[in-house]
Amino acid sequence: MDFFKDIVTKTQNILDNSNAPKKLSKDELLRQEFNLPETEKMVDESTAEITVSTKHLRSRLEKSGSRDGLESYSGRLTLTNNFMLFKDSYDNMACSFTIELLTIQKIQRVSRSYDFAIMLTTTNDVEIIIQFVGIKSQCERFGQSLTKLLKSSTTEVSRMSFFQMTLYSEYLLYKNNCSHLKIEGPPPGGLGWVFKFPGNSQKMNDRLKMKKWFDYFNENGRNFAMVRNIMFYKLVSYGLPNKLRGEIWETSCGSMYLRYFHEEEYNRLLVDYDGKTSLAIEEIEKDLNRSLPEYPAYQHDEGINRLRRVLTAYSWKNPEIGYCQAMNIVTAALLIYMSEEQVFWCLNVLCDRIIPGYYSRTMYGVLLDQKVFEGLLKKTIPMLSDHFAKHDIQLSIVSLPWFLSFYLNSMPLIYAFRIIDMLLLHGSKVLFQVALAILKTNGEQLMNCEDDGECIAVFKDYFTSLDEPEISLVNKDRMRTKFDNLWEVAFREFSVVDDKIVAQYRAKFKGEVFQGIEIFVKRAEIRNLPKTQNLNQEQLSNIYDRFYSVSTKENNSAPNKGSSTMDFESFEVFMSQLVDWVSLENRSDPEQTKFLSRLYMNWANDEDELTLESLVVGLNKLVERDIMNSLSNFIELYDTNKTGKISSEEVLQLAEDLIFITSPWRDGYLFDEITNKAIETEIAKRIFERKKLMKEQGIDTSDDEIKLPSEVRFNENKWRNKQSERYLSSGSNFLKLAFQYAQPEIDNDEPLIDLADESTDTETKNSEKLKHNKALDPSHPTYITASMFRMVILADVTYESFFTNIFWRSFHINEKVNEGNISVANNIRGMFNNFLADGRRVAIEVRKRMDDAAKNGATTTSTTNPNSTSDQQSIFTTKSRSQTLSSYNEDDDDDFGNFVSPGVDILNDVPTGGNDWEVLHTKKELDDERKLIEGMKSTSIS
Amino acid sequence: MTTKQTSVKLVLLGEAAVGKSSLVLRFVSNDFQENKEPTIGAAFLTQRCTIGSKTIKFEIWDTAGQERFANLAPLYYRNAQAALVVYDITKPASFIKARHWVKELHEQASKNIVIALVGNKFDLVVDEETGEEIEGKRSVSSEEGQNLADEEGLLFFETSAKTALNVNEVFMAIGSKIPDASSKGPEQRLGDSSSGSTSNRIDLNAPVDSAVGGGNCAC
Repeated sequence: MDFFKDIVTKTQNILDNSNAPKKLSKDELLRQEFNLPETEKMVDESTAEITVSTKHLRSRLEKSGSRDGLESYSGRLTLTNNFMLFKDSYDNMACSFTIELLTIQKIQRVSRSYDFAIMLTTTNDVEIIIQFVGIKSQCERFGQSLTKLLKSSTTEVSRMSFFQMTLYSEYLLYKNNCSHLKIEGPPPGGLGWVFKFPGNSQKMNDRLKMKKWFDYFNENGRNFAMVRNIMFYKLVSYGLPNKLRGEIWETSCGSMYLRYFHEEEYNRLLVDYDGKTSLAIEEIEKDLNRSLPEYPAYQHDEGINRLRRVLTAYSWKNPEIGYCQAMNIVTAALLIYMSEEQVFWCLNVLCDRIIPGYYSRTMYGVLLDQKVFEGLLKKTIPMLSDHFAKHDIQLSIVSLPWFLSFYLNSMPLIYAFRIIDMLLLHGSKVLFQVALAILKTNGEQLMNCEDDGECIAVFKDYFTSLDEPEISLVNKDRMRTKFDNLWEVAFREFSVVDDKIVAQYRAKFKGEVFQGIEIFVKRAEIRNLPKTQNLNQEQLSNIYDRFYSVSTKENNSAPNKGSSTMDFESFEVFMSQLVDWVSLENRSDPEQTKFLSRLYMNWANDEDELTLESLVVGLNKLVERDIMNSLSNFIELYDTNKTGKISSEEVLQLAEDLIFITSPWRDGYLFDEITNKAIETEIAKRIFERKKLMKEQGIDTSDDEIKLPSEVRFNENKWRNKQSERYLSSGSNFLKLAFQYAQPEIDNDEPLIDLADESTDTETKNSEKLKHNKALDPSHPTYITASMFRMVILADVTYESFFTNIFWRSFHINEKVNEGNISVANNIRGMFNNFLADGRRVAIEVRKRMDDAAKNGATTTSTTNPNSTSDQQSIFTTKSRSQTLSSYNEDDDDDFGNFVSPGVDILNDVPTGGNDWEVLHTKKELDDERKLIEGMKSTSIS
Repeated sequence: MTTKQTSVKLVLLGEAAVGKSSLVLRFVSNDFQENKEPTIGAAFLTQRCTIGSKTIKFEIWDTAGQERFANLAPLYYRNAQAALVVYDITKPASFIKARHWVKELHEQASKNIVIALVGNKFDLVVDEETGEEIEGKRSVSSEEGQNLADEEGLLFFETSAKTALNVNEVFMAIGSKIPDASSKGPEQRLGDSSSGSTSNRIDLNAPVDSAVGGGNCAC
């Protein structure tokens, strides 16, 4: 079940993040824009005008007789610790570059009188003239930063040229005498070099493509010092040539920089984790033979081993993702064009940056993008979207595999690779553009589909016929395949679907998708919990929510390890929110800590931390309502050795803990059942008297109706003190009794318990003292058993009532996490008025008195008090109370002061004697009463 | 095609590599492959077969078994009239997972869903020569499976996609337990009800169609 825990923590974190979207820093934005590694930070920036030239470019321009010469671009020039970056401000694709500083060979000032300009020459002979725009001092500073960085990095030049030997572009130019970097043989590449590349390279114009790239490299540089212009994007869109594909992929997505900066990491991971196993490793092994099995390399150890190594290394590199089915297919595909190390870093960039969350444990990324896709469809092709809705066709079912495996398991490989060319360059919007184009081009057939199955059939037919000529009226003359058409629609028509729109839609659906995942995960986890008799589904759900709200919040300080267990600190928070007798303010209170530690240790069961499961099992025992079971469960907490014998030290602690958990009642923050009952009785008495008064006045009030006052006031302290006394004496009684019946460890005789005996006889009291002392004598260890414990508790009215009525109720498992925390001392007024909220019992009490009075036919003097019958207040029918608590003799109780303060109640003929007790009605009621009485007075006079 | 035809949406659920896709492949194409590509998301296949007087078109959603794909399962069992919950009789963990799936379906899927519990890979516990069960090979006994099925009101079969044991029987049993199209009433999916009945829909596009054929299937 670790899986679920991970997920829950994850989702919680994601949700937390989504609630407060983090603003990206300038550095982060820059890294995102230029696909740079995490380590890059901005050093300086400036506005500049750039002119790029190379020998080849100049000679081509000369040949073509172009008079315009070299173009210049204006944009933002940025310097980071390892790179110089530029992007044209008006058209991103017109000119941009990412130049590794190590490739800058020469830097010189261009002598122009009117401004500040420098010329850089790279190792591959690209000349870049930078003309700074702005204040001269700033430009000077930029130049100084640049020279400083260049000087500090000169020692690493050899590393750079060594790395460049792994790049096919370098080999290509060297082979054609266009480079000084000597490279023996082609660099390590993908499986395609050995097992052939998919597709017919002649048909795909591979040679021509290669030549185009060769020219491009000559004119605009390559790999670490390359300028991207519109031609670069065109060449990628045209489809990459087999042997350069891997390198352009890693240049496009920036994984080349990671490979460069972390040269040894891939091999080190393989060595470090050699022979280690994990769930991911097991899952990978299952799928190795099932990844592009039709490609010859994967019928060979060579291919399988490469696949295993890359997937394994990645699972260790990013254990949070581990391994997700579909990664095997993607990795197997990349390995055809890239070396293992190239694929490894490319996977990193894919998972971290291009398609985050696709392969995660919850797959939230790909689920979110399906929603985004449906949203985009609704916007761009509403007719189709409506049709799907009408026929209850769930598009996401069909499209999910497209997104997850970049069309590799839907389309013929050669076409899927074309899409990957674009994906690695332009990012995830490409997946949407292609998906929308697929729907658009198949719109007519799809409009005829009436269920998911028929749609799938349409797509299947379409994908297998992508190389067939497109029959369209417009382009009858041109030989154009369905795929060409798809390409056109995807990247021309749907170019409106840009990063911004995708981001907008993602933000829009994020909450919904995450919530869905959360609900699913929660359902699964609750289902997997052991059976709990005393906790229903809803209560479990509340506990679940509280558990995660507490444990993840607390985890935020330290980056979580993906575990969702609860440490003691979180447990304190959890309990303070859940139960009446724990409060965070008392965190330093040793009694609280002691008892909570006992629960924690007991529930955690030798583990360091609490899991949801152990927490639920523990709580389930404490909220037991049956008093005998409840007491057994409670005493179990003290039976640490599971011998059934609770040692005297433990009994002492038990007594202290009882005092601790009853403290809200002992301190009078909360009233217990006995006090409540007494108060209710008193309220009932008042109401009854008032009723009687009104009857005597001759105002007929129906006997079936008992009207409750809207508010009650009384002397809290008096009640509080009474209750405190009871608890204090129960606390000491408990200890007395417990030790009286404690059994010496050596003595085998069952102790005789005679409760009736003990309280009266003075002689016993003396011997009690003796036993008490003996019990604490370490040389005579004693113990009590569970049954003794039960007996002792049941012998005490207050403690008995506590375990019968209060203890299990003190766990607020019915409260949802957002409903605020339970604060004991918060609202005493509110608590007193609970008597009225639960007015039934008061009403019953009144009824009882009325019935008694009726039997006795008693009448007394009093004023009349009419009752407005139209009032919607509670109407109760009689039901005798099944249970009465006998400790308070209600008739003897004359501590309550007297009825209604004169200032509030206008009925001045009601006897008053103090203000510690008031039964208030609303002002309106009082007014009504007054009017009625006055009315009656006047009628009786007349 | 004049026989009465009912479409039945069936979903396969179960732990990774218990043989869900293989069961479907056996049922739909009477074939078996050792190394099948893992299912990404889900695969969709159809198969028709005849039971008595009615023809049933199974629309089969074969789901991915990897744990993290479980998140997606609700997409597939939505509206399903039948489900195969599959486990591997040599893998106790897969039986626990099956139990979870049954619960999930009972809680979340359509009320009248017909569920069959299927313990697959029976071939692994029998001696190839004698055909007798080898002791100690299986980890989930037939009784355990049967008990779960009885508790939850499921059909129960032990199968082998490799030897074809009981594979058709599972689908046939499900087919006979599915109420007729006419009695489906409101349970029917939107798409179906709008076209009145599924019976006269001619499906030329069905991706994998009747490789076994109706009669064959009823073996």
